[in-house]
Amino acid sequence: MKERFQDLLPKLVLGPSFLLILFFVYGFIAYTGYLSLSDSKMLPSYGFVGMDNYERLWKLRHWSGALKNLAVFGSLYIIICSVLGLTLAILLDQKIRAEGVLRPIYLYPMALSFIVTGTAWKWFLDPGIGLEHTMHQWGWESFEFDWIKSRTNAIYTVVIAAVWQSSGFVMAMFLAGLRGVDSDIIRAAEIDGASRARIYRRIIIPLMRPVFLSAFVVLAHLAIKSYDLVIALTGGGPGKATELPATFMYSYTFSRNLMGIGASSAIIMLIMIFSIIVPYLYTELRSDSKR
Amino acid sequence: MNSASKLSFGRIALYLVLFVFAIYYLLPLYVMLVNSFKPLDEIRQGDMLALPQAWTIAPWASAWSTAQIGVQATGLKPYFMNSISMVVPAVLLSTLLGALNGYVLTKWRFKGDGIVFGLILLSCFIPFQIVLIPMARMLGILGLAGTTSGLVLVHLVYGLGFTTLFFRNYYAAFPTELIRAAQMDGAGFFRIFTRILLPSSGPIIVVTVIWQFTNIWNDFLFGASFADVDSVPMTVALNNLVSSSTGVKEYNVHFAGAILAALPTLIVYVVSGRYFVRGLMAGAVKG
Amino acid sequence: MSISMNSKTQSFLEIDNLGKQYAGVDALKSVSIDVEEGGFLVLVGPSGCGKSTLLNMIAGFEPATTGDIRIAGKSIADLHPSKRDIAMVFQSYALYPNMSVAGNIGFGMETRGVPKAERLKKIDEVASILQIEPLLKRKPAQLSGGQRQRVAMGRALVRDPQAFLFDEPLSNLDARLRVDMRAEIKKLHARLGTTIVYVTHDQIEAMTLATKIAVLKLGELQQVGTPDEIYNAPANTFVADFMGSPAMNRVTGQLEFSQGHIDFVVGPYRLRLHEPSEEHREIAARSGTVDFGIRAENISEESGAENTGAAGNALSLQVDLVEPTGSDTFISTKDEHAVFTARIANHVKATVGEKVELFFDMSKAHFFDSESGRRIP
Repeated sequence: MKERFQDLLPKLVLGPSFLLILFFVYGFIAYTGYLSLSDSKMLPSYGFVGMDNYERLWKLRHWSGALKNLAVFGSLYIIICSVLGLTLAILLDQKIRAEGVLRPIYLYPMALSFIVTGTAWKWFLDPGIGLEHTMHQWGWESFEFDWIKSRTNAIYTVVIAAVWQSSGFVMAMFLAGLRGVDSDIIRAAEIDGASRARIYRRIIIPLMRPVFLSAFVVLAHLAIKSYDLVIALTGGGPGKATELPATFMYSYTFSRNLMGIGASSAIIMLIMIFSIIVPYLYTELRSDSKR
Repeated sequence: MNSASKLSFGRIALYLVLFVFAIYYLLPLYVMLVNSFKPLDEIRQGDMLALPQAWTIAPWASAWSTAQIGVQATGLKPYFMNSISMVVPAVLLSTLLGALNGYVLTKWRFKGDGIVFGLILLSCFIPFQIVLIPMARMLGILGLAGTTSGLVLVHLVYGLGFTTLFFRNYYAAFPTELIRAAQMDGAGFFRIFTRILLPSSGPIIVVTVIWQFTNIWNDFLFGASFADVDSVPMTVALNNLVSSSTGVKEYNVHFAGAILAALPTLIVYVVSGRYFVRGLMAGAVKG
Repeated sequence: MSISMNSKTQSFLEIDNLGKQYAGVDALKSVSIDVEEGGFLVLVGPSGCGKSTLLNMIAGFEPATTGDIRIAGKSIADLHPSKRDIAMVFQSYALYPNMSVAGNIGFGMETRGVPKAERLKKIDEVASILQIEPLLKRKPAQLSGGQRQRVAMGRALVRDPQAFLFDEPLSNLDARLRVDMRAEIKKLHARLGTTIVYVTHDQIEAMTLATKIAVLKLGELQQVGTPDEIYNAPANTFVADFMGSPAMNRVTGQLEFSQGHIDFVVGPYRLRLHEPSEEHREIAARSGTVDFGIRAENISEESGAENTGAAGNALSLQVDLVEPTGSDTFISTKDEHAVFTARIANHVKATVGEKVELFFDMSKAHFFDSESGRRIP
């Protein structure tokens, strides 16, 4: 009897966590999925309306603007973070004495809340008081930097702040990747007479393909989830210039009381993230079990 | 290799570039810090990089205890306490459950454990917008709406994926022979966990606690969605402080507040940055 | 299994038709082995042969799909590992990293609720047997490989079990230490007289330690026997190849009658069988194909006393490789018909490319069916 209990024990221990996740994650996804097909407005309601919400969603300029912004923000964010991260990692990999000081400096923004980051950059980029103001004080009267107030350029300020926060993290990923390359391979290339630059271009960077993939997945999923930073930095404005799907969902659901549309936008976000994450996790787990 | 360590023009340029980047990352923090010690009129007139001419800690005092947040002039202090009483139980519970889950998933494998782990892992990556509506209702049904306990539950549930992942990956490298030796010595499920695995889990516990602490402390979305007057966490309060549209914008107070909100995670980062980075990597690189 | 029937009264550990399937694939195919009380059974084979699976099934870490395991007549197949009254020494030693040496040795007693005073006494006893008294307070990380090995043995010893299981216990030690520890295990076995099951892939360990060797391949038992039987009468070409270093010479050729004798013939070479059996004669009658096998130490540069009686046991062969090992020298010969390795005295000089006269001790020759690999007695 006691042994039976011992056999069951592992499942009894894992069970509650698993049920919590099944219910609060997958159950909730299903619920939101259903709401997206319902006539919910201010409160959940269960009148089935089919794909109405989705049709209305795709007709909304607000939504297509949010998607466009996400495309601009996401691609710039991923590209700049990767390029900057890789560059910094390679530079730091040159037997830099001060690495122990520099690396934590590059990385610390990752420990901050996006709200703090947003507060800092909002002020820094404010033409009336921040960088532009300071430049004028210093005597550079013609200096202009008012993107944060501009409908066309505000989205780039979100990129600037987001890159500031995450690029150090990408640097750390790449640095770990660089350090993980078998040093014998590099020595072999040196004996073959390859220059530093060529060793990086032909040997090290190609070997880091998995790191690029990981960085892409992490950054893409962060970009799609981006919410706090926009709220703190621009509040989605000016106008709707920096609305993203995440802020769209929140305002439609809780401010505009169009819950059905809010739910359908959340489902679209989920589909976007899963279409990146699921194949990635699938291959990672498979190679894991092979090892 | 040797020539690379000699001081040359290239080396100097290299250091210069790295130094410029260090300034780029440090500048916003520096600006917040120096301006939080300036009187408001000095900020309006002066340049943002200059050190204060008249040092004052009034903005800090105001941010902490008297600033107007929402409708009340309480400063950030009560919200700081709200965050603490939310973060501590959420971190401890999610870490403990993550450790047990990782232990079961690696050392007591069963049929279908791969699918269970896959579902737990996938839950790490969902956009939280997808759970906002049902969670709000569920907290209402459970009578936890607007309470700190409600937020603890939310952070516990959505942190479990990561804590389980961390411990699973750590325990996967833990030799199974040790478990077998202990089984042969007659130790059962919990004794093996407490006597054999836990004593060797120091590093991963630190990593997990730091990760959870940072994430939960820095969370905004759940706080903004589910908190009420008595449970509003620090990040939400800071945002209210900064974006309140009434009256004069007290930038120096905002900066002091922002630094106060950032302080706990910054301290953790400075004290144990190594573990912080390891957590980031574990959460990112390994699926 | 008539042998096991006869010795039923003696056998202590009985592995009875034990089988294991993983996802429909046989990891172990119905293996039966009996060990007498105080015996030393070595399970040997290349990696993936099922020897570790078998050991883990005896230990109770993997359930059997079919069959039974008995100790002293009682089935243990359904018991938890801790209830089987066996102790195990693991390949990685599996020392609890957070506990001292004394803690490691005493942990099993602790879980069984043995009083502290008694525990300490037993730990001291075992420590003195293994001469690890000065290490008792240290942590595993502060020990050398050999010391860890002793502690792992101490942990097994302190339980005073009915049987010890060893899972490749020496494979993590360097060559020198391995030889020392091998001798110690052998002495310990002689002193304690406890039954041991020992897994290794090292055939020298198997030969030196075992009272009984079981050779496995791909989950199938190839042969069980004393070291002498395994070495001198291998049941098939797999056992012949696996046991002994260098591997047994093997050449495929024909058996033919020649002047009332039987010769093994390959190309221009003929070697006369020492005492041909009935089966050899049958094959020779139809000039059948066989595999001829002979160990390197049974080919030498001088016609020893045991060879003098037989004619036709010398071949002139061209040297291809000379490998002095210090004590002996191995020379390999090669041509289009046959490859041989011979062990010759170290003072004999051989030169690559030269022809040497080599004598084959045909009383030590083995013949195998060239298709099935089965020994032809």
